[in-house]
This record gives sequence, C-alpha cells and structure tokens, in this order.
Amino acid sequence: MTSSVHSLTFCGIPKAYFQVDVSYVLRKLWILFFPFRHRSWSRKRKLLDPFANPIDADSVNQAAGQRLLPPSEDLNAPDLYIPVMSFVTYVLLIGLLRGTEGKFTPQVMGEWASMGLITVVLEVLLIRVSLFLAQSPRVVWVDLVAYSGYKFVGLAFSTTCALLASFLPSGRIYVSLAVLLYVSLMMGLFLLRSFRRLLRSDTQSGDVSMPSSFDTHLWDAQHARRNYVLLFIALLQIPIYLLLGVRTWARLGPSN
Amino acid sequence: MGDNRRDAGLDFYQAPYAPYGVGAAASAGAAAAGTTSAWSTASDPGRQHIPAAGWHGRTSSFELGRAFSGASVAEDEPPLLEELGIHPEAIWRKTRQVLNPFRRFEKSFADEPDMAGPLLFAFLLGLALLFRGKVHFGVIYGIAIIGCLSIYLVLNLMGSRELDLYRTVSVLGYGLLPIVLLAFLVTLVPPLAFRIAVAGTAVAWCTSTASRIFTAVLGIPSHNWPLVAYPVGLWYASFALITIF
Repeated sequence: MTSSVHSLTFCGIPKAYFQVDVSYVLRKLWILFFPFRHRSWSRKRKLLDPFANPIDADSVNQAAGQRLLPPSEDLNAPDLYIPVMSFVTYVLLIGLLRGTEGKFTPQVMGEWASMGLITVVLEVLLIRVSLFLAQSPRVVWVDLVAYSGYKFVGLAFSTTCALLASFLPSGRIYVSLAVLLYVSLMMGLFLLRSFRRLLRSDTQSGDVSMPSSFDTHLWDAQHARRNYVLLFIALLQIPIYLLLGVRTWARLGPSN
Repeated sequence: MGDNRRDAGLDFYQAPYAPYGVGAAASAGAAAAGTTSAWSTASDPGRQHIPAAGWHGRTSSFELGRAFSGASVAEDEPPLLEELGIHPEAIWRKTRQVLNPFRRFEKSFADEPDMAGPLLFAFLLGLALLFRGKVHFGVIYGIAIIGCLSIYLVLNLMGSRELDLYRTVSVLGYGLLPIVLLAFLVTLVPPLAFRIAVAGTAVAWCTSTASRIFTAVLGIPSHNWPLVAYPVGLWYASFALITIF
C-alpha cells in the first residue's frame, strides 16, 4: 500500500476506477436504463507524452503511447463505484423486501450477497471465454468485473419496483417480471454496444451505422463469430436477471 | 503472633489458619485469638494501636499485604481508564457533537480518533436488540468489520488524501449514535411504516454526520459529497435494517 497522494493504485486496485463525480454517475445511470439514447460508445484516449507521464497501470496501451481516460473525463469508461454501490443497495433492498413480508433474518442478506458475487464471478469467466473465442483483443479483468457489476443497478431498481408494487393487491409478480425483462434487455443492449466497440478497437471503423463498414470483404467468418458472441453475451443477461431477481417474482418456500 | 498479623495489615483476615510466610507459632496463636482480632483493638487499650490498614499494606513491609491489595497499590501507576486510553470527557464531547447535526464540525473530530466510543455504541446497540429478544451481536460485529473495511477501501480510492483505518472506524462508530437511539425507540413502537420513517431519519442523521467529516478530511471536492455520503449511508442503513425488523 503506497502512501503517496499521487499513487495510481490502492491495495492493488487502480484508483482510476473510482475517479468519478456526480455528473458521471447520473449520466451513466441514464445510459444503463436507456442505452438506445446514447450515440457515441467509444472510449476516449489521450496521447501520452513519454517524457512527462509516469508508468501507466494499463500496460496494454502503454506501448501504443495512448492512455485511456478515467471515468471523470470519459462517460464510456467503466468504473467500479457504481457496481459496488448498486450491489450493496440490491442486497439491502432484498432485505427490506423480506422484512415487509415479515421473514427477515440477517442471514438473508449474506445469502443473497454471496449469490450475487458468485454470479458475477461466473459471468466474468463466461464472458472472458467467449471473448477469447471471438479472438478479441485483450480485455482487462477489472473492466469485465465492472461491466458485469452494472447489472445490480437494474436489479436494485426492479427490487424497488417490487417493493412499491407490493402495495397492489395482486400485481406484484407481473410488475416485477416486466421490470426485470426490460432491465435485462437494456443491459443486453448496453453490453452489446460496449463490447462491440471493444472488439472493433483494432480496426479502423468507427460507427457501424456508416454504410462503408458493410463491405463484403469485411464480412467473413471472424466477423460472424464476433456477432454470435456478442449476441450470446447479450442474451445471457435475461436468465441472470431472472435468477438474481427471483425473490421478487416467484413464490418460493419458507426456507428461502 | 497477633501483632504479626496486624503488622501485615491483615486485621480483616480472621481465618484460623495463618497466611503464607507466617510461622506455625502464629497459626497456633491465631487459632487461640479466634474472633478477637481486628474489631476488638479498640476495646483493648493494652495493645499497641495500629490503624486497621484494610486493603493497603503500606504500613507493613510484608509482601503478602501488597499481594492482597490489588492493582491500585503503587502511587506511580496511572488510573486504569487513562492507562487504557479511554477519556470519558473526550467521548462525551464527541457524542455531543454527533447529537447536534446542524453544528459545523471542527476538523479535530477526526484528528484524535478513539475506539472506546464506537465500542460503547455498538454494545449499546446490541443491548437494545437484546431487549427485544434478538441476539445479534455477531451480526453487528460482521457488518461493522465488512462495512468499515469496504468504506475504508472506497474512500481511499476516491479521495486525494489518505485516511487510515483507525480514524475511519472511529468516525463511523461515533455516527452510530442515532441508530442506537432508533433501536431503543423501536422497542416501544410496533407499526412498520412508522419504524421505516424513523429509521430513514436516523440514517440521514448518521450519514450527514459522518460524510461531512469524511469530505473534509479526504479532500474530495464539496460538490461530490453525495459520492461519500452514499456508501456511508448504505452502511448505516444495514444497521437500521437489522434494528427495525
């Protein structure tokens, strides 16, 4: 643990993932819920002056002479603040939900926290494997954890909706299912666009909406495989959300 | 014989057998003296009057007296609380600061951290829960450990100045006071909606206390205070959750 003010990491975690400010958080939440409104998805880079800047933690870009910008300067940069906060919020809201049903014990929070963490770990491994199969350039593990952790925002929101809907006589299951499906589809879209940008980072093409990117010589097996992998990652979100939000829409036994 | 025992400052000690180190003759004499020991000196003017030294063996050089006198024997040892580092007036001062959420905080709150206040509040919280039949000491301990470590990590990652773990725990622990009050209040009040409303107030109170101190100490720009307040608020909310249900 370094003690200098300008150190880049703290306990092994790069500080860049927590350099957020309020406007970044609000805009990022907006994108997470409405990814179809967001236009430009590429991460900004800044050219490094090799004589002025210290050694960067992101060694992949060091050789390219560029540095990825932190979240406070780049809306598309992944951060760890939102995933961690939304994870804890989700666990507390699950506890609150069970409390209003009268079945709260402190162990419940621990169980759901473990469930969430295991899901993140498995999902990160799965995405890593599928990105490897798509022959993507190397993606940092922490970025994958961040992208996987964004799902807790949607889960916390759907748990809130389930809480509010519990005042309705019978509609809670439908409300929470509807919200979960919406949020999982939005997350799928978000990941699709984020990873598409990542997979294409070694090519020159920018926006896919330009017609020149549909030239036939680009349309080969690798391209198709990348698309299948992206689709898989996006569709994977639906069962994940339904599993983690199961407490809101299913009638389970008293032991759960 | 009897004088020996009195010299040792053991006037109060009336057992028939002699203390360690006194010879066998004294034990025989003590058995004969029986109950006519310390309390009868006043009625026996013939004997040399030695004040009943009670617990303090200072008047005698006999080692056993010192052994029987306990910890507060020598004059050069500090009082127990001071030796442990517990300063009740400092604890009370900080508690009063927390109790008034509208007063501006002096930065000195975080400059002299101590753990005694937080431990006291945590114990009071467990006690309040005990009154309702819930034994949650382990849960309080677990939340405290995990939460303090996480908040320590997050705050250090976000801020431009370092904050050590001891001060973090101290500031967070002092802010626990409204939750303790909530716990005692909830014992009396059944309705759930009321409980949730009061819990929300208590959490907001705690959070404003702790996050103001943290924002000042960590050097985070003041327009970013919600970023500090949110993790702290979540920690207090988890205590509120185990309190109200």
